[in-house]
Amino acid sequence: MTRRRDPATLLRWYPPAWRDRYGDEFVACVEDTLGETGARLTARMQVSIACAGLRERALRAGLAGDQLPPDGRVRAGALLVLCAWAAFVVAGVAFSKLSEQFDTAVPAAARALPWGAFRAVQIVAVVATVAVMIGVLLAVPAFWRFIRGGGWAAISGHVARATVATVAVLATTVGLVAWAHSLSFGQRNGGDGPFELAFLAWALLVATTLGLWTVAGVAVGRRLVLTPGILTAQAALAGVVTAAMTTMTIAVAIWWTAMATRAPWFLHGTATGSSGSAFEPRLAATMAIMLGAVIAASYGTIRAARSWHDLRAAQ
Amino acid sequence: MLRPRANDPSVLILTSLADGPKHGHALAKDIQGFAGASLGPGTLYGAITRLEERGLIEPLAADDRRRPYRITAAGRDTLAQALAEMRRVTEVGQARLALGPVGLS
Repeated sequence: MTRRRDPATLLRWYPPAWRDRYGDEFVACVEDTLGETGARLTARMQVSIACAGLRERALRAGLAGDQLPPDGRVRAGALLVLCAWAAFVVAGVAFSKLSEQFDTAVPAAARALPWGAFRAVQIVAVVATVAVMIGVLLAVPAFWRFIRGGGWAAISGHVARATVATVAVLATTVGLVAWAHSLSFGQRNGGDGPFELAFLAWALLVATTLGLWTVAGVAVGRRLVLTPGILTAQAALAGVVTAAMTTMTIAVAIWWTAMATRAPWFLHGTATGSSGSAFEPRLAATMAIMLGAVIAASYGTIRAARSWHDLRAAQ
Repeated sequence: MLRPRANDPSVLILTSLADGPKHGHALAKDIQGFAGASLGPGTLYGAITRLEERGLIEPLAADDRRRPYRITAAGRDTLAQALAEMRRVTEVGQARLALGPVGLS
């Protein structure tokens, strides 16, 4: 398969500093390679270049290789866990919505397992949130030094974008709540097309806002000067958050399995007592996000733990 | 430190530059010629980046957009070490082959 594509567009996979240094000669090399055979950029070549560019990004971010010193690698691992946590929160909110009032759909005698799994998700979510908050609080003194040292200019753009998105979320939430009050329970839960669409758009806006704040957090986190003690705490907290995410994912899987066997009608929204497939696409998408977040967080935690050992050895 | 493997992109690039400076595409063509290995631009420039960061190669003035690279003294030493390690493995392998095949009884 071939596509007409300007080789220069492939540079977007690489980090800006790399593009500044190697961009022109890299594009010339790609053009020479293609010019010699008269070939176009193949999909394989594009994928290969994209992978090389992403690897370069990972190396420069401290998520691969040993280009950064150990403290930078510990920080990179912890920040990856933070990003994974943000994605997990989005999935968690979706799960919360999808499981709304599930207990009323399950016969009382069969309620223990799904209820227990759901409670486990709630309790562990609190533990993980507290761990994230402790991590943020531990970084506050370094953040204050960073701001006093003139660091605001480096992060103002990120913070401004996230703030604008937050204001938009607040404004749309007020509108959505007012709209919801004029609807019945059934209309609010899938019975009204326009409201469903507006709710989906609002959910996307919330997820985008969370993503923008996470980007701002990473931009700040990469610039802070943290002591070895704080880095050690951040690495430990990253492990706690990863363990919590893993536990919650398992609990959600147990909840899904329990509901599929005890109250499948709840999953596909049919009359109580009816049978049907245990597969629910929105729940499957939610689980996929959770699993992806757990994998990313596990990598970040392992990265932070290994780099922490290097940090200790270097001291 | 390089991985002393004949197909390691860094070893191939240093070997190619050992007889004079070359730019990216010329490097890829030379490597294809002497090793039969086809290095795509992504792999090639990933290795060039690492070698330059380690001070094993250095850039020369660009000709149009094509920037040649040359091997540094440190690069020559590193390549010599990698080739010596590979030679040791080669010699052991050849010596064992000379003993002939040994069957399991």
